[in-house]
Amino acid sequence: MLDNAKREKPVKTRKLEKALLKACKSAPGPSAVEALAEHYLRCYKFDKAREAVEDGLLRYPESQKLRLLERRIKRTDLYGDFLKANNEITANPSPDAHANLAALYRAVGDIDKALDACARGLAAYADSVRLYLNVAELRIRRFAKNFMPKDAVIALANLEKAVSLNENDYAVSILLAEFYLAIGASEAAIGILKKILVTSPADEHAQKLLENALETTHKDEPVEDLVREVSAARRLAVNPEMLKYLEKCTRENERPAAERNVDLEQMKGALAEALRSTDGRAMVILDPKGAIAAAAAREDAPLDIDAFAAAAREIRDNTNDYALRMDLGNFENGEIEGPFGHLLVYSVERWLIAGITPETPSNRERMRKRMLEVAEDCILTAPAAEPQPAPEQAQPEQGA
Amino acid sequence: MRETLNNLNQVVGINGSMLVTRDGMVVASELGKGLEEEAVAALATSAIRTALHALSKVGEEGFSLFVLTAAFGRLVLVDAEIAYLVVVTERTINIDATILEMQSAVRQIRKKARITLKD
Repeated sequence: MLDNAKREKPVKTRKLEKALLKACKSAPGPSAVEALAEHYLRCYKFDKAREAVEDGLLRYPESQKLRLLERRIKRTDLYGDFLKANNEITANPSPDAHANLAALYRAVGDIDKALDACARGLAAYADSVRLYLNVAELRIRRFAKNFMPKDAVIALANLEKAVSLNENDYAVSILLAEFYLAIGASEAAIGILKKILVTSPADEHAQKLLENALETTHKDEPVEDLVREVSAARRLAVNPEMLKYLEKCTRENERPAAERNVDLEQMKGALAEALRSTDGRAMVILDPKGAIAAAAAREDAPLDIDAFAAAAREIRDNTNDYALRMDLGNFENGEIEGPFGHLLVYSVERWLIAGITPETPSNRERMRKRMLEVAEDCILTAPAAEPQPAPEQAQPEQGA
Repeated sequence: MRETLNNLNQVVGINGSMLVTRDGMVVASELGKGLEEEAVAALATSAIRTALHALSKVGEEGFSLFVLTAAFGRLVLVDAEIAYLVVVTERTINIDATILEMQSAVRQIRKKARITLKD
């Protein structure tokens, strides 16, 4: 009996693998690739899982599901390094050992854990410039993406601390000057840049920054107020191109906001199918401009689609602003439960997808799942649109 | 009320909680480090009003639970009759399990409110 059971398992696994491979060919999409890669991971076939995810990301570079899987696989790949870094902290504790662990978490994209590793390091080595710089870089990277005031304020505090510990550290001083400029605190930036130029008078980057800071209108407001202004406008006070580190961060963050060539017919079909399979009352997708891109409603329980779309927009817009002020970050989703059933609103890049369930059966879980599948298959994996050519700019006077 | 909020805050992943009326008046609050009462109350009031207004647009009224998920945290609102229980949580927790704890706190708050009103 036992032998039969043992033999049956690999047969079932092989059959499932075959079916998943077939699904990848017959109904290609990130969900199919994800299912296959998950299966490989369950069977400890890490190389095959990695291959499937890498191949999937080539075809669907914006798929969040595949990115998460890639991160999981990366963490498995780096398991030995994580073990080594943790052992190093126990056996030979030093600021560098903590910084190395933080760097590993950063490499797999886990910023919270990287910050935790730095915090643990700083608890033991309160005068480590490298750890303060690491915290500042992590916070700045996140600020450039989400514009959360808290990240900017903490980044500044860490950079200022690092400069106070070693005034001659070029990397720290220049980043502090750049970040002061980024939030519009030009007066503070000038002070730092002048100090840098005393020790490195030929530094062209510092000279350029100083020229720019001197041209900028000086503001006397406290740094917190300047940060709040930048956060509200979601734009740095100066052109990020002149700031080396921030330019890198903002460039990295620009990618997800790409315009997409979405197939509206496919989207409408997928939404109607999702509504049918969840017995929902209505579902709607709004494009980044807030217009209805696709909608589906049950005939026996009519719902005003325009009003539903307006409700979804209102939930996202009104709560997003306050969530940012509270340092919770950008709105991702909202789920409301009431005597009517459930109302779900999900933000995917700049699109919105919303659904409302009947009172019974509510099928909230199923609707959530189907909404995310529609978003993945119709929005996140749609090809990016060609960038529009910039309007012709007047040439500066070239002289005779 | 504060004791109930304090007990709720012991649950893993909960950073703070408060009771706020529909018009934004804070009845009781027990917030953890880094959470400003004014900011949480403002977000909660905005979320309550938005949810009620949005629901009225689709012909519905009232909600029992509103879970708002943002990039780095969650805000959960549970109707406690006299006010709304507002809970700030980590982004990564299992929200369904935590909601059970919140509902238990709401039952206690309702009970205490009834006793106070009788007195």
